Amino acid sequence: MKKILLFAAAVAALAVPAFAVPASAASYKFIVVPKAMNNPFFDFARDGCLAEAKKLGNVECVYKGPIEHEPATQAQIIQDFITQKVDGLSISVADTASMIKSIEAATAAGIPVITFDSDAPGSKRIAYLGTDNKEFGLALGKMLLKLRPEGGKYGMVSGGPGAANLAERVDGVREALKGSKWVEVSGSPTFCNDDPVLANQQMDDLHTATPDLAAIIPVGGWPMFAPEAYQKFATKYKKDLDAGKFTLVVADTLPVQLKFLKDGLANALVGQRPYEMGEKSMDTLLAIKKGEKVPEIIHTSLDLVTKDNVDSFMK
Amino acid sequence: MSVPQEASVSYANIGREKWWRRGIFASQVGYVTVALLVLIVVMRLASPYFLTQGNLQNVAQNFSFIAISALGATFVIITAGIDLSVGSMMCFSAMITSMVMTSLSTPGMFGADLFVHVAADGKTVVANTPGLILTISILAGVGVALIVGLVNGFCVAALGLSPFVTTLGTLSIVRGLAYVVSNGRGSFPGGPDVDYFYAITSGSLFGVPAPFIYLVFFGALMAVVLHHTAFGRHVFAIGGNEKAAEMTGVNVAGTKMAVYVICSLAAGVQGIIICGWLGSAPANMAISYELKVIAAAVIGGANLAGGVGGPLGAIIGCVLLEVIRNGLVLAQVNSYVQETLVGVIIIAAVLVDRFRSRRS
Repeated sequence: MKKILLFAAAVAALAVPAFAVPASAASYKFIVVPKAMNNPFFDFARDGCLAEAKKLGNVECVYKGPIEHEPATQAQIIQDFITQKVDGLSISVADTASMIKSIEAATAAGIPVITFDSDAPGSKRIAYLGTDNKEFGLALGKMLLKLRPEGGKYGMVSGGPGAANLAERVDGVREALKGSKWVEVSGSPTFCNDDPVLANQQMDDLHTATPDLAAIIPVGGWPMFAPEAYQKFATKYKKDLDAGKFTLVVADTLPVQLKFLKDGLANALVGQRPYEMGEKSMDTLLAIKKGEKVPEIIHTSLDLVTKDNVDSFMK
Repeated sequence: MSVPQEASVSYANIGREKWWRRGIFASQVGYVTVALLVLIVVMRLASPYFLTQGNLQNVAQNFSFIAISALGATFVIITAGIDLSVGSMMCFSAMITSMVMTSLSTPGMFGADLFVHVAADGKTVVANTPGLILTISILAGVGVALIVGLVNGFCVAALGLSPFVTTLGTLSIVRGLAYVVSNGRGSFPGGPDVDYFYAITSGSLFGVPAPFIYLVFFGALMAVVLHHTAFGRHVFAIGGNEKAAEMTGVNVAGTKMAVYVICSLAAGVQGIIICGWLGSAPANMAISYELKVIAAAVIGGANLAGGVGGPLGAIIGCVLLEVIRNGLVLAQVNSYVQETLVGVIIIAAVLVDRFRSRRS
């Protein structure tokens, strides 16, 4: 019995910090829900969101999502926020079909929902804020065409199969390379579910399955988010990379990725603006709460980075 | 002849039990219930939203997502076996149900003409017999669960393989099949019967969520089967002492086969219900849910060595885990703490049971 009491006391002690939360002066509580909290891309969205909330003053930004890329967990978290009657949700959608239901529940409860980075088209979300993913895919494809006009075989690595934004990027790459001498290998795109280790394994498998593979285009930065694994992979093929026989055009421009580009372990990066997405999430939700009309699609811009201009991005 | 000394002999198994071993505390379930009540009080203090109707409905729905499968797993655990394939089974059943439903609802696909036709406006797809597609899809999902259960049961009961290894293999086989069948993409339910599907899997009756109603029904059924039928007796007998059970004429192979089938069926039904709530059956759905299911069963008093367990314990174990998850989210505690806390509670529950049943 003593054990039970000790244990209950321990749980109560854990809950004490919750009592100690001071009544905040913020009048609006907005939640940013990423696809997965273990994806460093969303850390920038969190930073942008927190900074903008501080600047606005009457807004509180809460960053919470599933730890891994799991649609069911994301739906449960959103359900819990609906129960807490928060003031607004900004969601990066992991799986379109499941989010349509959750967004409908949130809207029915009177909570405005916008999506960022990954959209849920066909849902009741008020606005989408993020990269134009078709353009993103086109930019990746065009970059490859510019670097290697002679063509060859290429493969792609994608994240979650249910994510609409990634599907658009894949389509964009295919469209950019249509009519060129680039041929996509079978089994592409692979789906790594945003897991950096799996992404690296899949890149390795693609290269092993097709020894004369000329390029890999990951449509998200996941392989580079496991720096050791990526280093091993790229160093293995460094000779081909330098000789221009193997090309890596990778999405996203996080600092670890810029470093790889500078070191010659990648050929080009096409970046998004996650910080801006975080900032604009707060602005858009505040505008909606104030009753203003917001545009349905708000695009953040792309950055095209090669060895020539990488230094300017690395400040 | 010496007078025998008055030896003070004490017997531990006569007279009234100590208070922490009798009455409500005669089994693990009593302790877990007390812990649950304490936890509910703590969570209520941590967040005013905890005991609101919306949140309680949410909690009831969420724990029902593990509990139905935990009931089936308890059957297996009572026989001293284990089923690690329940997570993969949930996903595969959900996926098969979704795929059959969408495939039969899309004019042009194989067999679809028997079930749907396009309405006069040329666009809307109308079911020929409302509800038929739904019935067939659910039967398909449950059917694959039956097949996997039979495979598990056959390997364990007839071939004598270890349950751990067998179901570890089935875990990978079934998850792999889920990826193969959907091309790694997962699927989602659609078509004219989809609203009926959502109504029966995630609707509610007088404010009570449907999964909870199914849970209560299956829980009651399990209690009756376990405690009032010969089959239930045999399940406990096999778990208590398999050799003795065999020698007293219990059909060990048949009973074991039956419990693995029950476990897989429960997981299959669970998967279909989760798919109805989620609106989708992603290929990575229910990964590692087998650990939650087994944790809930063990916390609720099912002994992995066999012979002990029941529906009430399984359900309370699930409620405990869900109350923790939900309470931590409402109290805005770091999500990573949740996993740690669940592990602490599993060990605490087993420790409590060890101290309770220890005889000095």
